[in-house]
Amino acid sequence: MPKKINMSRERLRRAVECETPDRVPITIRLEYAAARWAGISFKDFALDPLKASNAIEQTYEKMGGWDAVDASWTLGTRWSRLEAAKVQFPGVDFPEQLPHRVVDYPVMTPEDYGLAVKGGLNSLATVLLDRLGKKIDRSTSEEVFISFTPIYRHWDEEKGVPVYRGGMVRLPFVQFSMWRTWRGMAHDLLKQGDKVKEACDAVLDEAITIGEKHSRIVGCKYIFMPCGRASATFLSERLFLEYVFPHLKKITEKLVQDGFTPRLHCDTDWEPFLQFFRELPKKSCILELSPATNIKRAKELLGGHMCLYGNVPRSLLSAGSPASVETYCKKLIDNVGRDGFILANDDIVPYNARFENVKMLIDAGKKYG
Amino acid sequence: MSALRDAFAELDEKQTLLAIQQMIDRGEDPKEILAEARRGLQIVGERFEARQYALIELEMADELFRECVKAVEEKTDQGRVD
Repeated sequence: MPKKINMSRERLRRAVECETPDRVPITIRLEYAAARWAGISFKDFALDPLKASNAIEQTYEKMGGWDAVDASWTLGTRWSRLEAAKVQFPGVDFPEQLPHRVVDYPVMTPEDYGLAVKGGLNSLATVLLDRLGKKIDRSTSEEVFISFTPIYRHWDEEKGVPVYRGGMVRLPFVQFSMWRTWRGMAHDLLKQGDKVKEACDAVLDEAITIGEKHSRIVGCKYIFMPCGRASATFLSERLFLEYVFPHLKKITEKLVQDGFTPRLHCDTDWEPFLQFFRELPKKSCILELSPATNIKRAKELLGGHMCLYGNVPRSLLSAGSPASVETYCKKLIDNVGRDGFILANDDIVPYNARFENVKMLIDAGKKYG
Repeated sequence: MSALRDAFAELDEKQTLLAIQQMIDRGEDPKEILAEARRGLQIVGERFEARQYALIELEMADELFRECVKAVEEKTDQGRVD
């Protein structure tokens, strides 16, 4: 058992450093599918961290294990308590059979950029939470992460399975676009781009500090960075370079300098921007790509510089067959190579994924990786 | 008339509205002013197809065109421009 523990960690370390491990490490970002397979309600999975962790553990054991688990047990608590967003939960706001939903709602106004500049990120978030009827002081959010620590210890120390997510750092532009909605952000870029930029600059250091603090509390060096809203699907190169990339660079540099491993979670199409990723810290970050980005092209541009992660499609896991998953995984590993690569599902395993398909992802990783 | 078209294509709100004001001051036909804004909109679409612009620029163009219509209607006392 201890040998296996060390191997998973070692595989991840070598992959992040763009080396070739004994085999390609495998991670699975598992959410409500685990609830289905364990026979617990979606409501319990979303809102009871311990039950969620137990459900993931059941799947982990039934599938023969993989190399790192994502901390999906934090999911509902984070969304319900810390996120200034309208979130609807299964078994609370609608019937059980569907995952939680984040409603597109402009909780932040164009005038609120001034609050961000004056008071910072947590201060603004607390105001926005209050607007949504959530009486929470975001500056005390560490209590939430302290409550997660026994579960992290269980996985990391008792089971010896690395946990692949501690805190989170959102790019300021991504955060504001969530609070303002896309339409709101388009309005702001048209009317007061300078104010958007000023606010993004003003909250940058605090965003990093919050993510690092949460990661330290749970003892996990992987920091999740959701970047999808800053992709080439949504932004031109000019806007990306003006509003996003300087912060992306500063965040990754600071996290790496402080001993963390940034997970750049890059949904949608990033191919036009991949060239800029060579300016990010070398052999220290993980780039999580969806099938919308050509991962083979990413390897050509970033091989030896950044660990790639991905990208077995959601549709394949829910509507495909084990044979099609196996074929995809083999081809993926052959295309991307075994150096600096983590085999994983795209984004989140869909709640209606077939058990045998996800198991095949893991088995194929072990066989061909 | 290219000042309006070019400013619109660059999604420069201030210059776009300034160009509209100048055209109104010169007594130009409101429908021609909006036709020129539409040519700017067309360039935005071409830049989107060429991947110089992305989805958020389309949202910005949508809002900017609405502002052009509003400015022409208000400043020319035309009521609704059909």
